[in-house]
Amino acid sequence: MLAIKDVYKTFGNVEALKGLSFEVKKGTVFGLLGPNGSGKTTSIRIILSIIYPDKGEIEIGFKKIGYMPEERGLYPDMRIDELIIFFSRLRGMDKLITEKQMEFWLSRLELSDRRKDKVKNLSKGLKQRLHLLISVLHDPELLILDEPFMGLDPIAIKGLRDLVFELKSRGKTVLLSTHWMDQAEQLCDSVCLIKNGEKIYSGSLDALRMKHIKNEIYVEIEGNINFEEFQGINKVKKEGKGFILIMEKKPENFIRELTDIADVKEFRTVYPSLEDIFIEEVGGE
Amino acid sequence: MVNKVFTITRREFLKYIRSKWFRVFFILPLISIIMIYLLARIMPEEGFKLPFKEKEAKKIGIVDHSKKLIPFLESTDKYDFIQMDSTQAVEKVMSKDIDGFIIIPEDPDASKSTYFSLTVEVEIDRLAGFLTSAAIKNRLYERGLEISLAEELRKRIYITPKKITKKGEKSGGGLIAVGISMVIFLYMFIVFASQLMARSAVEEKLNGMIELILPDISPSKLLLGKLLGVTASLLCIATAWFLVGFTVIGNAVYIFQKNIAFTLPTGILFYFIAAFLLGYTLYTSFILLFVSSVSSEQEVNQAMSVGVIVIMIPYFLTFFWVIKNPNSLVSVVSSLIPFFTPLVMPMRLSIATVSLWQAILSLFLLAVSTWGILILAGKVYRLSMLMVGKPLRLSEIIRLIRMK
Repeated sequence: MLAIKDVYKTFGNVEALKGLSFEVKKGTVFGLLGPNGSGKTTSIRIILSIIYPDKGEIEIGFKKIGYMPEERGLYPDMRIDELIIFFSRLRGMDKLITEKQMEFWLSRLELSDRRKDKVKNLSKGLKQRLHLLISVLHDPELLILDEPFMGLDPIAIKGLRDLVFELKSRGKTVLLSTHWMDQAEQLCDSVCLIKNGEKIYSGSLDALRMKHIKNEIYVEIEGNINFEEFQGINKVKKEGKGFILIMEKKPENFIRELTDIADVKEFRTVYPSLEDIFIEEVGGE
Repeated sequence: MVNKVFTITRREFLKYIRSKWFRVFFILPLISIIMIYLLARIMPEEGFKLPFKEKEAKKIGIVDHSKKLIPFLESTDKYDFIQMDSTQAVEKVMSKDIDGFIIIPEDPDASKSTYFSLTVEVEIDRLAGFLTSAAIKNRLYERGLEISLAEELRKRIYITPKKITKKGEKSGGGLIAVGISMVIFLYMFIVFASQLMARSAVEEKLNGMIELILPDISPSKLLLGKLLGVTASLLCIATAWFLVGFTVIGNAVYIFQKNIAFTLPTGILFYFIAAFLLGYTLYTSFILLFVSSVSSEQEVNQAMSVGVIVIMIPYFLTFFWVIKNPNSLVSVVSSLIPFFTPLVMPMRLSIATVSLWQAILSLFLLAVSTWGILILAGKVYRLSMLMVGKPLRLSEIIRLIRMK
């Protein structure tokens, strides 16, 4: 487990973190979400001991941590294999393990035939894959990805998403910081929303959704009904083959009333998207 | 810890030895060594001679209005003096039959002679020397004395410098040359090394991989690894050039037809090496204080120039004051100030008798200061590596040093 407890960090006159706390459980995908300058990267740097907090506690229950930062530079004149060996040496990896891991990840990330290429000759997408390879080379228990979807094409995004799922299925823990709410929604088990260095929410994604659930339902019926004749419906919106009904209160008895007069094909609660929640929680500034 | 530092050192070293400039500066002296050795052995009897045609003697026209010097002006293998009138001389210069001509006035002792040519004559003093010899011979002739006395009268007096130490007198000529060489070498090495080191230190910051590497190695170890890597690559080049020097000295009997030998006392040699290593680290760390906070290649040059200009102060002090006044108050005090010690003290040791306590104290203060500034540079480097924006001002550097 990783626990950040009441962490404060100030740079000059700027308070980057103001008592931030959150927990990342083992074997889960955790999203650190917040607008620019909210303190996400500062939190990650503190977890990695690149910088130190002014106050607060960090509990790290992982021996090996992998990190892919937002800024992705590499030594341009080094070959891919040289760069991998360079990082393996910095991490004190055994030669045999390095070779095994290198072979596996070069193949997994489809870089095997480019291993002798210099970094400066790689495309942006290939550099991104190489960064990912370096971050997982030492088989970390916790992988931290800072804005991993930045600058990726849809195929690369899918590849990265699949990899995160794969790592999770192998019992690894992933902490990702991103602006991409749709990706976070698909990947994360739990999230922490931060704004101006302060926690707004920390917990499971489902609980966050439940917290922000509105009295909205999606209904698809056979034939036509004038929903506005029903009591307690504030607004009706056409959505695909059905309608979204915005109710005054929780629609507990509405389905019973509806099935009495119409053939209901689909009826479900509308959950707010993470993007809507994000905008609602941290937007407005 | 050692492995991590060595990994950085290895990468830095390989980066530089694979670069084009390294090939030029390292391979060139090695080729020179082989060439010197072979050429010296191919022509041992005649001595070392350049393998191309020797230059022909310069033809110099002489328009002697005094008629007194021309009888005594003797041509040599380098200068062929030909008597002519002024009209003829101008025509011959224009048609490039002669290299130039000298007009000697009616009274050469009272007025100056003039040299005319299409280009500026760089060896004008040598020509004046020939005229002086001719004038001396003429004066002897006019007084009815032996002309052969001229060579005797022109014979120079030489002075050999020797230092007096507590152990007795010691030859000083070679040591002065070594002292001057040491100061020039250290200064040049520092200027060159500081440029490499500055670029190397901020490489990860400028190429955007600093955050990738910092979880695996602390900034101070990264800096130490880089310092060792840059130093190792430069020492390779320095060693290669030293070998060129030793090859020349070793083959001097073939090349110059004479032996060149000097001895360097062990104590002074030890001081030179210690001052060189400590001075190099001190100055490079000093430059890093300014360079660590930059965010672009252009800012590296600006920040570095500040450091290099400051290092010029001890260099100029050494060559404009200490070399002439090695035991003056300014020289003694400055040789004890760590920032001046690496350049000032080796020069003092070479040309003057320096008290042992001064040498030991200066080395001690230098070692302590070097350690201190290395720690400070590491701290500023650590704190400024993740900073972006304008380079830090001196006040901000001081604030960083005071931070936890």
